[in-house]
Amino acid sequence: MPRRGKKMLNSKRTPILAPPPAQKEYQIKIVTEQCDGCELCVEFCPCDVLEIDKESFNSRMLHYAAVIDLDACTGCRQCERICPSVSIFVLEKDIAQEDSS
Amino acid sequence: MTVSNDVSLPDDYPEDHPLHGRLNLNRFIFCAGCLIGTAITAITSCLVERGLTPKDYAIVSGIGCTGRSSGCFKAPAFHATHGRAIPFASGLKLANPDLEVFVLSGDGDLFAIGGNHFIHACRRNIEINVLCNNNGIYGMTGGQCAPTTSIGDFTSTSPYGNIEPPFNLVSLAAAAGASYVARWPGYDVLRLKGSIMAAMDNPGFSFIEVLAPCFTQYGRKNNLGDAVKMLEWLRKQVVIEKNCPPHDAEYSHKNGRIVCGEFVNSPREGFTQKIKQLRETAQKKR
Ligand SMILES: Cc1ncc(C[n+]2csc(CCOP(=O)(O)OP(=O)(O)O)c2C)c(N)n1
Ligand code: SF4
Ligand code: SF4
Ligand code: SF4
Ligand SMILES: [Mg+2]
Repeated sequence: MPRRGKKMLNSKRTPILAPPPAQKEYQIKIVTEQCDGCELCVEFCPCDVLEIDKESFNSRMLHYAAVIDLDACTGCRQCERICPSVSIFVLEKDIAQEDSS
Repeated sequence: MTVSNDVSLPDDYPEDHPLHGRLNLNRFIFCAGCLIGTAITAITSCLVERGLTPKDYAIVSGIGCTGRSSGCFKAPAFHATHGRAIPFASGLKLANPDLEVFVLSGDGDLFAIGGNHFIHACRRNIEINVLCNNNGIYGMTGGQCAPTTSIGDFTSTSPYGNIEPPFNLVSLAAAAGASYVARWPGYDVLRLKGSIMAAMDNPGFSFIEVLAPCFTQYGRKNNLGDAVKMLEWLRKQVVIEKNCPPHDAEYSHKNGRIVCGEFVNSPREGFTQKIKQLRETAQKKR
């Protein structure tokens, strides 16, 4: 379960204007073999997108990070920046561009 | 219960990733959650954002956990002997002044055995960028007391609490003459990257202290918990101040106050520039 409300970097604020419609789609790639399950990405994601999968292991018998709520992702890349073992990265796809082509 | 079937350890990012071809992913041997890895990616992504290719930069590290970081870079990276990362990097810079030279090493490496080299590199204002991963302890060798361990803290060589006053690294660097000095917590990657960019812009010696707690040694001896708990502990103490003089940049676990920010940014002529001028005048006199 996401631990809402007791996160270290809670940067959620009520927006003054309605947010513009999403122009980009994000895909989070997690290299499960490389992941150490340290939980830093889970702690530092401002939108509760990630969680440690307590059911699965990699071959080093470590639980790894998993995406639980991709729709909430804003593509801020905080998870990618903080990950000490470079196991998680964000790929973005421009929906607007794809529509026009 | 599922076990991941993907057992092949990747050795690089996918090709569409900006950091593709820059890091050896299988050399990240640090404890799970240790921010040394974060500093490595921060430096690399700054170099990529600057448009530098591996032949334009070099990384030097000393010995220790942070010293192991040189192996993580797919670039000319050198694992120097203990304490000698700065002289090694100075030699590289003097031989090839166009190279962007980074030193990434631990507090024990740079300020205990290598302290002498550090102050003289500051004094000369040689154009290298030094990042010190400060965890206040000798992480790799079993958690001995370092010149950065706070008074009263427990380590394996101070079982009754440390009695030696520590160095304040930013104040030391500023007093020795470094032309760019900053301190950031290792989790604040955006600000850290901003400082790495500023260090690359600075035509002289740049020093950035990165706070990267060692939960395996320091955390265990001082009962501070795991990686996440120790970052929470650090975050409660960090205060970011603008235009704070370096000698007022308090670092005290006891008072719960660690002042972070940019303390010195006063560019002056670097050492390789002076050598170039000296060479020109010497040639004219001949
Ligand atoms: C000449 C020499 N003396 C002592 C050592 C043992 N030694 C290896 S690493 C280290 C301390 C490293 O501490 P630090 O630079 O803080 O790195 P950390 O592991 O904390 O990142 C020491 C004393 C050595 N390798 N060589
Ligand atoms: S920060 Fe990286 S290593 Fe840690 S749990 Fe997240 S993906 Fe895994
Ligand atoms: S990109 Fe930002 S919002 Fe998306 S998972 Fe990473 S940290 Fe969370
Ligand atoms: S021993 Fe400490 S400094 Fe070394 S990798 Fe582990 S947590 Fe990091
Ligand atoms: Mg250390």
